[in-house]
This record gives sequence, structure tokens and C-alpha cells, in this order.
Amino acid sequence: MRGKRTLLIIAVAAFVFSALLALPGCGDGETETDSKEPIKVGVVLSESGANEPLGKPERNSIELYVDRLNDAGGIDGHMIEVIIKDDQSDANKAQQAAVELLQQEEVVALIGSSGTGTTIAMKQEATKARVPMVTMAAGANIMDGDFTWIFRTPPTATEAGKKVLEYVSEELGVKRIALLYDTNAFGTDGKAVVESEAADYGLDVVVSEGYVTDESEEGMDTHLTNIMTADPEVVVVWGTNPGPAKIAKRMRDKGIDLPYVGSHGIANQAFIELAGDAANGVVFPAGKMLIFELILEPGSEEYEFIKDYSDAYFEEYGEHIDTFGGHGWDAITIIVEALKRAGTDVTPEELRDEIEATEGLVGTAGIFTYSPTDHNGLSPDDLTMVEIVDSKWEHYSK
Amino acid sequence: MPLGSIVDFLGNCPQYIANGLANGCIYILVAMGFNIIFNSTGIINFAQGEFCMFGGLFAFTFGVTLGLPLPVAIILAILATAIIGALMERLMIYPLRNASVITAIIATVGASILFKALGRMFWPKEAYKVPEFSTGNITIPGVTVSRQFLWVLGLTVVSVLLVYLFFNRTRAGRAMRACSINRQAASLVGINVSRMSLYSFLLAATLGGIAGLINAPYASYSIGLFLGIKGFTAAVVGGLGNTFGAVTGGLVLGLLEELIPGFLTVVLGVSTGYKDAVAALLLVTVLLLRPQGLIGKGVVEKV
Repeated sequence: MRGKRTLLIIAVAAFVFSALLALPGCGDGETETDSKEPIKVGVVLSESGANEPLGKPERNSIELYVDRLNDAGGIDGHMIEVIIKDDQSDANKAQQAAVELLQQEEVVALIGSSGTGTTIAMKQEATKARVPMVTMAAGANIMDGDFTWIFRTPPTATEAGKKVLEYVSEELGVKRIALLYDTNAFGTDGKAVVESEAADYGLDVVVSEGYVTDESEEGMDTHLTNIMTADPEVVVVWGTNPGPAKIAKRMRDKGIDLPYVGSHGIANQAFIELAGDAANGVVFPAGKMLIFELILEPGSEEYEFIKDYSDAYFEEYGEHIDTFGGHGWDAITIIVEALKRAGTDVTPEELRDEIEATEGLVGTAGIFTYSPTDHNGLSPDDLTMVEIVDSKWEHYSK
Repeated sequence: MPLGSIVDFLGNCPQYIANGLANGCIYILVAMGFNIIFNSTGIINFAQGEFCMFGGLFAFTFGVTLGLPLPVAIILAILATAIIGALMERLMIYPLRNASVITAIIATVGASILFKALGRMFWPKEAYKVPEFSTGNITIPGVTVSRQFLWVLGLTVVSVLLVYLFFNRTRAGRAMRACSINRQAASLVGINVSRMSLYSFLLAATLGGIAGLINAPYASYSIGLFLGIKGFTAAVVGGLGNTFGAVTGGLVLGLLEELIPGFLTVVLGVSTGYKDAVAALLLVTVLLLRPQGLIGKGVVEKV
């Protein structure tokens, strides 16, 4: 009798213990729930302000990706919860948003932000909190100093600048470059790369001049007048809208028929809308995503990855994908793939190591391979030259 | 080499002057807005640049989003901007009529931030393309300008003349000037001081709206600060409160902004990329050497 009773008690105790052990956060008084704990990822985007055209598609893409992932059961039953904050293209607000996400939400990783200044503001906080962060901004100085915790999805001025120089020297076959650059961070990054690398491609930057994107068309006219005095053979314009559109229009108006080579900053529909007819003939570097149907083999991993994103995006939002949305899609892909490899109970430190081990991961911007010395992940080969023909993008060919 | 580059520079000068004139006209209109409000209330209106922002953005909304014919869209855009100016006066400046001028000036800084936020909320894109009044170019040897340029010149000349006549030939204009010199005395001789303040904001917003319109075809919410600083510089350089001072200041600033960087790039071979510094340097130089402005008559009688 007694032995049987003892056995029963032991069996009940064992059952209770095993049940308790299986519960997450066991013993610290949390309420018990049936579903597994969600994994929180903090996102800071510029949904208003100067970088609004970037933040909106980025948000759409990240939300779509996560909705699809969660509908399919998340990662091992853990839902991904993204908490998105708008930094209004303002560095102070980006920093504040990062602090809130890190301290109040205890996110396992950060995505953000759309712009370089806002990213740098967030970087300090992510580094301090030792939480990995994936940025969608291309500024060269993001990687200045300690970049242990920061990873990047877009191609940078370095890849894009080399691609442009390669195009000018090999395809156009001319030597004398006139460079017009926006005096913001994006433009000065491009200027630095173009000026320092030109000699390696046998090219000569005969004149370079900065402009402010808010200047009037007449202001741009003066810049064009100035550079034309140096008798260039090609005009390279490094900036984000609307400056490059004003310059394109003014070049057309003045009858300057030199080739216009832009930067990846104009890889968006807004440029075509703003420049109108003058956009035609403009050539710029961009990820293969923009014209993937023209240049990638159906059935290849890259093609299928982009096709899947493009179809899902169009179905959900009724709009075509653009480069910036792609950066958002890549950022969440990189984090989710690392989570899948590392397991869902990963700490931010372990997740960082796993992101750094990303190798040959197909994304919309190209194939990502990070290493301890390279947190950019892409190479110039991930870019292609795009030409605007009849207000549409086409793969540049001779 | 230097001689050749000087020849190049001189060859470019007609184009620089044309560009400088076009920009100068916009600065003149913004500067006149500053002057009108300053003359009748003693306030420097830091939201003047935002009136320009509204002018361009409303033109986009009426002309492109709603698809109205361009002349109708332009008139509606100017009216809408004028109404915003009037609302600003009634809701922010009028309640402060018994406070110090400094308080009211700080209120205009607030209005500027508010307007920019509204602009960003309703027109969030980095830029909007507004249809030109007329397309095409005019080319004479050495100079290419858009046809819009003629509108810019014409509208500016007409605006300056109307404002001048208003302040010097009409009862309401003189009453507004009287308010500036001595509010209390103006009120004692039967001038409705608060109504004059309303009129001045209405008029300044109208001019701002016109400036924003002709500064188009590219309108954006960020243009306010850019044009505000230029217009303020033009007003101070010419002599704050003086209509012809605004004209002088606007033209001097517009021309120097094109000629100085042109000279630096073409002759000296240095492109600083900081054209905006011209305005700052001009402002400081004039304030140091001739604080009453280039054609200002004397120190403003304010304590």
C-alpha cells in the first residue's frame, strides 16, 4: 500500500516538474501562455521627412515579410514581432527610438534606419547595448570606427562608384569626367570614391562641383555652366532627388548632349517623374532587382527570390518593388535566416556572430557574404548599369 | 592659363547674370514679405519662407492632383496661401498684440515649425513637379533661359510696383506705415491697428505664395528655410523695411550667388560646393559695415 502511494506521489511530482521545466521563464512568476514567446525585432525607419520615399517601401516590405513568415508558423512556432518607429529623417529621433526599442522592448536585433545620419545615431545605441543592427543606408562613414554590431544591406558608394567608373572607361570609352555632387552625406561619399578611384580606371575628374538639392533650376544652370568650361566628356551626377532631376532637365534645356551618368540615388520612379522627358538616356548603377526579368535567368536562385518578393509585394500593395523596399526585405531576411540557424532562444551577442557568418545568402540587392572585416556584404558585381529609355528602366547594353 | 580662364569666366557671365536675376526675383518677393510685416507690426516673420512652400505645394495639389487648369490652380494656390497668412495673424499674432514684439517674433518661429510639419504631413515626398507657366527655352548667344524666366521677371516687377504704390499712394498703405512708426499714435488718429496687422500678413503671404509659385517647377516642404534665409538676407542687405531695399538686396544676393562660385570654379579652379555661404558672408559684411542696409536711410527707431 505504502509503496504504491509513494510511487504515485513521485509520478505526480515528476509530471509537475517536467511541465514546469517546459515553460519558458519558469519560476519568475510570469503568466503562463499556450503560444511560444514572440521574438522581437525593433525597426526604425524614416517614414516622413526627407527620406520618406525610402521609409515607406521599407516598412511595407518588412511588414509583408513578417506577415508571411508568421502565417507560415514563424520560426519553430515563435512569431516574429516587429516594432516599427518613425524617425522623421531626424537623427535625434532615431537615437531616441533606438533607446526605446532596446530598453523597453528588449529587442534581439535592430533594423534601421533609412538614412545615413539616422543610422549613425542608432549605431551608438546598438553598440552600447551590444545588440546587432542591420542598416538600409549606404553612407560610407557608417562603418567608420567600431562596426562590430552594424551590418548593411544596400550597395555603398564604393561599389557604385567603381561600377560607374568601370562603365565610363569601358563602355563610354571617354576620359574627362565632370562631377556634380550633392553636398549632403550621400553626395560627398560618392565624390570621395569617384575622385580617389578615377585614376585606377585611367580617368580624370577635370572638375567637380557641389550643389544643394533645394537650389532652383537656375542655380543648377550655373553649376552646369561652370563645369562645361572645363570641357568634360561625361557628366557624373551624385545625389538624391530632386537635385539630379533638375540637373537632367537643365542639361536637356541647354542642349548639352554629353552622357549623363547618375548614382544609385536615382534608382527610383520619383526621378523619372521629376525629370520627365529629360530622364531618358540617363544611365545609373543599381541592384539587379530593378530589371531582374531582363538580366537574370528564370529558375536561378536570385531570379526566384526577387520574383517571389515582387509578386507578393504587388499583390499586397498594388505597387511595383523598388530598391529601397528591397533593402528592407534583405534586412529582415538576413536577421530571420540567422535566427533560423542560431535557434530562437539566441542572445543578441550570439545572433550577431551568426549574422557575421552569413555566406552566399541571396537577397534582392545581390549575394550577401559578411566577414569580421567586411560588414557591407556586397561587391561591384552585384550592381548593373541601368538606362532610362522611354521613361522605363532597361538593362544598359551598347 | 589664368588669362584663358578669365576669358572663359567673362564668357559665362551673361548666363550667370540671367540665373542670378531669376533667383534674385524670388528673393525680392520673399524680402518684400519680410518688409511688409516688419513695417506694420515691427515683427520679423520667420514663417515667411513657409508661405513660399505653401504656394508651390498648393499649386501642385490644385494643378496636378485635382487637375484644374493652370491659371485657376495658380490663383487658388495664392488665395489659399493668403488665407493661411491671415489665419496665422488671427490665431497667433493677434492674441499677442499686447505682448512685446520679441514674443510675437518667437511665435512666428513656432509658426514656421508648424507649417513645415504640416507641409511634411500633407506633401511628404522630397519634391513635387508643378507644371510650368510656359515651357520651352529662349536662347540668345551665350545665354539659355527657360520661358518661365519671363514670368518670373514680369510678376516680380508688377508685384514690386503694386506694393510700392500701395504703401505710398493709398490710405490703407499709409495707415500700415503709421502703425509701424507708433502704434498708439496711429490708434489715436483712428487707424484700426489690428486690422492693419491682419492686412500685412495677408499681403506678405500673397507675395510669399507668388514667390513659391515662380520658384517651382519643383516644390517641396523643405524649401521654406532655404528661401526664408535668402529672403531675410536680401531684406537686411537692402535695408529692412524698404521696398527698394528689398529689390537691391535681392538682386545683389542673386547675382553674387552665381558670380562668386562661378569665378572660384572657372578662374581659381576651386569648387567649394558651398554657394549658401555667399548669403551668410554678405549678411555679416553688410551688418558690420552698413547695418542700416545698402539703401536704408538710418537706424530703425526701436528701443
